[in-house]
Amino acid sequence: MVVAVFAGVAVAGLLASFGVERLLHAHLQRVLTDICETDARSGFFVAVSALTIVLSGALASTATTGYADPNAVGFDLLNGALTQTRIVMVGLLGVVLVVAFLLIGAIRRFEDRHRPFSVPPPGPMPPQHSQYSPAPTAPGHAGSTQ
Amino acid sequence: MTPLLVAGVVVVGAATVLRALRTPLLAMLVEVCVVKHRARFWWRVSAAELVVGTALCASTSLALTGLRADPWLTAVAVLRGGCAGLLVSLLAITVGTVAAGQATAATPWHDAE
Repeated sequence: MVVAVFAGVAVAGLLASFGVERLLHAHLQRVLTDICETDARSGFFVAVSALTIVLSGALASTATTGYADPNAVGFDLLNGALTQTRIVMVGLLGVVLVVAFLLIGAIRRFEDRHRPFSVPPPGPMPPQHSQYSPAPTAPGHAGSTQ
Repeated sequence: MTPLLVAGVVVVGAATVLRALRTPLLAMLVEVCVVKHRARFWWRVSAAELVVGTALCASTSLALTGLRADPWLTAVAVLRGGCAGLLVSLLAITVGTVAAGQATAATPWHDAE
């Protein structure tokens, strides 16, 4: 019974990881085509992302932590199945977050590289009295007309 | 018998990953290496790394579990080790390819083309 429940949850987890990959595939391809500049690079990264999502889901699906007793029935069996499902969800969520963070970093680098003009960083102000703007003279001073 | 069956599943999984990765990785390697025969060489190296890395992880997992354990537990451990090996090998191939791509982009002749 434990083996059947474990196998069922594992297959469901694998299908869930395929579903997540299908859900993200088209959007990921569009974003990566923008970022990577060439089709070869975007295709490679799409394939790597898809394989990472599916393999992480498969790895999380095979967790046996919840099944302490090999002859568990009833609530213990349900508890084991729920623990396994929870681990699958944590694994999928983790891999999606990792892909998202890597993508955010890549988008930032891409935008920094392709910014049309760069705003100069705020530096120290020029001196108020330079040769182009002489200091105002007080009345009666040599520079004045009186 | 069950662990052997699962080892077969791991081999099929590795073959599926290689099949899914072949076209995009080869295209990327041709772009990075410029010459096709070099790209094919590095593709072979990547494929060997993926297969050997997966087998190593699966066998390590089997050794850690112990052959005297419950056959189902042993089978699950082999499956888990295979998945972990595939993930680690994929990560290693990706890191190597990205590093090679950056090194190629940094060469002066790359900008001249």
